[in-house]
Amino acid sequence: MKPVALLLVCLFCAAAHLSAQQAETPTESELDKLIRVAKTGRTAFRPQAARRLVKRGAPAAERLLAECGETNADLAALGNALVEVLGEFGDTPLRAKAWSAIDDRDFPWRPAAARGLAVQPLAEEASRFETLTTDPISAVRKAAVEAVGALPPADGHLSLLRARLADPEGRVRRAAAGVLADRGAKQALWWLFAELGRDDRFFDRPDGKLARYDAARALGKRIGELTGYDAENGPEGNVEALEAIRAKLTELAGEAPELPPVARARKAPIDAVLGLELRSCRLGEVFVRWDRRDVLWVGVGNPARVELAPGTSHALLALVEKDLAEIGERRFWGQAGCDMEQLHVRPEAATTTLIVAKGPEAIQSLRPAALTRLLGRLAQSLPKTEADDPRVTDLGRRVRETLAALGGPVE
Amino acid sequence: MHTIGLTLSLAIGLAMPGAMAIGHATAPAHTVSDDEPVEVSMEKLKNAEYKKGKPLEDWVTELDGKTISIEGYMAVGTLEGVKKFEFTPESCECGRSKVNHFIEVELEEGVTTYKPGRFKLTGTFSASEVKEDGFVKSVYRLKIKKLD
Repeated sequence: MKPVALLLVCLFCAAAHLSAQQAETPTESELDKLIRVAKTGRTAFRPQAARRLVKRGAPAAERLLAECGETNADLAALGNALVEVLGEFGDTPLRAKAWSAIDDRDFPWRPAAARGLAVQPLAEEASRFETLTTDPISAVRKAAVEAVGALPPADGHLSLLRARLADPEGRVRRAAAGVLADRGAKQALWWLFAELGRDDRFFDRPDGKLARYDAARALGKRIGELTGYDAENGPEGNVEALEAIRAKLTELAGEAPELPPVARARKAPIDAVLGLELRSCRLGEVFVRWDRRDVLWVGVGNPARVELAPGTSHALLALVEKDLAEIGERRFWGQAGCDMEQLHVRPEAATTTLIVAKGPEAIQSLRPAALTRLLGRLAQSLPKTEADDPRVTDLGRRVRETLAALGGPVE
Repeated sequence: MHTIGLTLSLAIGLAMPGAMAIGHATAPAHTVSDDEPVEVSMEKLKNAEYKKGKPLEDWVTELDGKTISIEGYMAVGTLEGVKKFEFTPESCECGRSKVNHFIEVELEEGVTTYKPGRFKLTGTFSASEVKEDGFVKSVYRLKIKKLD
């Protein structure tokens, strides 16, 4: 047999074999595949698959509703990406499912559900979105602010949005400022201007730079090109551009009002030696730092300042370093998920970070005993006095409860 | 007839892996060079305009094939003992992995071990959409020698 003929025979045999295999394997429908990928596919594929489902319209909505199950536990099993699009089909039963998720404070993907519902909020949902603007989770508050902004103007909306201009989370403040400006309250643009001058860090993370990019986009959308401004640079690298923007804003929105401390750009860096970064998908976020001069800083951006007893930071750091020696080299416990506690230790220039993370389900004995003891000490050191600043109010209780929800109780 | 034709194509594709790449954007192959690395900001890269199927910003495409240094975080959830991981602007992307918000890092030597905190990587950068099964798998990639 000639080689070409032999090759054709081989290919035909291979084709016949594959055809037989196909006949035995039921073909997965396109909708089934998209749901499978959105649920359990590669992380980067999940939102893409979920978005494609939305484009498929009613048949996909019907199929997704069947997948939602009866309980919120069934709903949570869909995962973040599918929960995020529940509100985007224009389908009443799916929207009800998303609201059921949001109303359940124990549901792990509330921010995702809120984002999806906020894309096209309904007038009859106004009061529910208004309530969510004070949710413990900043991502839920931001989605609620955007939803309120997309609803027809109503009594009370402006005051509710103005209240969010003092939100401890910059993303929420920026969203509120944008919505208010769009509703004619141009003075709110000064909140975005303030963010252009941020240069703060939370340990190594350049929060100020991330805020500058976000604020530049939001402000540019509303007042036109920010000539000469480069979000890559801090305020020192944007002096002339910031002056030009200030002049433009003064013309457009009047003189800059006095901003609440939380919304002002912090000038001096914080020389923190210890820090806690707690992110709970159920209880929200807490950020605390102890600096070298016995000051406790609560929050990010321009944090609240609390004087500690002299020697507190030094004593805590010494105990922490002893505990770290017991913990050894390991720096991560658990698995990737929406719940994460991070301990940052920076006695000198380099930061050591220890992370405990998990998904929605509780994991027994997740945190090692030495780390639990260490975190307990840090929680005990938090002030118990009353405070004017809401970021400091009940701080010790919030930290202990959030730690308990993440890696388990610390006391 | 149509089925057999399709199956024959699949058979050829299996026999000739290169044939399967037709119709997919594939990542250009680069080797790590000794060039002076270009400092690149992860925050700037994250904020570069990206729309699926559209050209990337000029400054991004100009970096394609260059040696760069960039700071970021190893994605929480990185598997240990593998050759690739996602490098992200923040330690917690909280389940939202936008395809233009991470760099897919490939190790030439060794395998991954989870490394918390912000750190710098130096390697050969490439930028273009790489698809798999119809989904965009990555937009930015970095080939590094090994993890320190």
